[in-house]
Amino acid sequence: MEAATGALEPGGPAPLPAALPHGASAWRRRDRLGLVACWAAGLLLCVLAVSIVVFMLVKGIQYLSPDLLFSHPVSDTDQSKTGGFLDPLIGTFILTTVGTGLAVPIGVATAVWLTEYGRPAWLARAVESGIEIVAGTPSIVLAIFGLLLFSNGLFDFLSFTAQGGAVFGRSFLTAGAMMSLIALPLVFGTTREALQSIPAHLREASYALGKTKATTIRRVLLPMSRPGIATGAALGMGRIAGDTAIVVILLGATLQLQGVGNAPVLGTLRGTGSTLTSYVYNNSPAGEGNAPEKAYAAAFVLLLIVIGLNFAVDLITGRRRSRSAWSR
Amino acid sequence: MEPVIPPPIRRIVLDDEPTIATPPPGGANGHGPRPNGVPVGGAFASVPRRRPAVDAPAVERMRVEDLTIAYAGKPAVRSVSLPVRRGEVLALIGPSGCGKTTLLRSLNRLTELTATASATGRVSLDGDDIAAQEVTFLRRRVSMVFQQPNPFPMSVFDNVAYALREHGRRRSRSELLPHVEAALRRAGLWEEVGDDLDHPALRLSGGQQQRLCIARALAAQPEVLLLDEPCSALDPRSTATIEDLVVRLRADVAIVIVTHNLQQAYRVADQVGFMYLGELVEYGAAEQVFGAPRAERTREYVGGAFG
Repeated sequence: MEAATGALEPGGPAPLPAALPHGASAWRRRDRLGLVACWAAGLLLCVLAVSIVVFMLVKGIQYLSPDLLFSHPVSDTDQSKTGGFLDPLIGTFILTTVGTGLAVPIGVATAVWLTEYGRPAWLARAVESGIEIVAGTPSIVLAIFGLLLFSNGLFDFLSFTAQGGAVFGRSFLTAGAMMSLIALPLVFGTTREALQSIPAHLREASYALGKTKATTIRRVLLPMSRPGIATGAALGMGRIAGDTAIVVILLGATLQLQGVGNAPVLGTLRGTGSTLTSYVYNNSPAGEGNAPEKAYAAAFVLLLIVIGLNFAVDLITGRRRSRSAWSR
Repeated sequence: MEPVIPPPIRRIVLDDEPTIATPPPGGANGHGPRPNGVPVGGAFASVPRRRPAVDAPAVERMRVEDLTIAYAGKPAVRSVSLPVRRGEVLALIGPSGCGKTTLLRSLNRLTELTATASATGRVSLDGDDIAAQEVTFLRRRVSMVFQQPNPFPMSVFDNVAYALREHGRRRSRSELLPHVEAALRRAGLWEEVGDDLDHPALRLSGGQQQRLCIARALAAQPEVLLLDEPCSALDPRSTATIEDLVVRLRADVAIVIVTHNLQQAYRVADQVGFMYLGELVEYGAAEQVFGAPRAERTREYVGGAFG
């Protein structure tokens, strides 16, 4: 605090005018207080971020061992026999891949349509509000909705069907589909921003060469938007990896990957599993596993993944900013 | 800064004497060496003209007839008629907002990109109405270079190859290379970039970028090249290079150039059209428009009285 106020004292080069209007000093004090508050807020956030990382680092390193990363979780009353979190780790990657794989094409296509076509205007407005609604929906609501939707007989190919014909509705595919709705607004937003930042004269340059709108989008606009799309995808991955509600409700949160049928990849995708988030929840004192050390270790791994994704975003956007530009 | 004198808002009463003279192509409109007796206006007496001779007589390629273009009902170009010929450079001059660029953009239907634009009249290419042609096909024949250099953020090679690639056809780099090289040579850029075609286009200098845009426009072998103030963002040296290029190219491509720079118009143009408030006030050979303008308004403009 002292340092912050100290920095505000006029250092000498600009002496105050002799005759200040009455009340000017009061204004200055208020400004000064405001600035100190901003400084403090910033510092507080830094302290918070650092303490989270340091706390998790200490706990994580204390409890994390290669053994935990590479052994399957097992249900057992003896804590020493419950294994590691290989399955949740794989589950996180599968679910993130499925969700992002669905969100990127849909988000990019929507952004392209809205920025490059956007007609009729009422439909464009409707699409925009639709995306805002999806972005604002809590993930637990998406999860419940997804369970309702995918338990429908129409979608029985996505998940396990019980003997009586009841569709389970819980699988990597159904959870991934709902997860894609979490990533979709992010991919859409960054892609649209990237497209809008492309100067209009570049589109004209392409049209003036006798190129169609479709060619212009595919060959010029989309390649130029690639950093924006990648940023959205990375942000979306972080959100998917960190979501718990959809995993608990729509992925089954089974300790191990439980495939359906014999097909090697599709079987797993149609089957249930868990992710690091649900594993942390289950092993926290609030969950049934109650093995806080394993929860800390898994949470640490999850934090590393998400921080890594954020770092990737910084790398992508940083490179975009330093790119050379047109003379105007 | 020089004081900016706004053009007087006053409609021009055209003189009794017609000021839009359309001399027959290939006639005595001064190709090759200029006769010494042509009087040239005071301000331009010292400006050298870049005049390599054109062997072939000028051939009419495009014709604008009674063209009116309005933006949201407000006319920007008012019943303009003029020819565009291969073997000649046509320069459109006039104060800002007089409709030069709109007229230029209408020649390859880029005005259609503006939602509020509407047009009446006729523009033809080799006698065919351009409104009836497939627009991508038309724009390959009538290509355009813009005011600001706008290469795509790709390599030099890809910028030129982009114009060459046709829809739905894959062509290998070795197949495209001779065409890319030819286009870069025509634009006078090959010596500078030929060694490193993978160089990012945006790292070139402004003048090189603009010549790359010209190469890109030339790659599809257009018949008409439209240039919208191509040198306004460039330094004098790059400007001179591009002016030389324009004059050289006019032998095989019909060229229309919009410019604010009267000296540039005088240096490169064979024919000059002076526009004011959307109307074509005067059209004629360059030394006539600059040396002995028929309309009072042209005289004032080329004499530096306004604009």
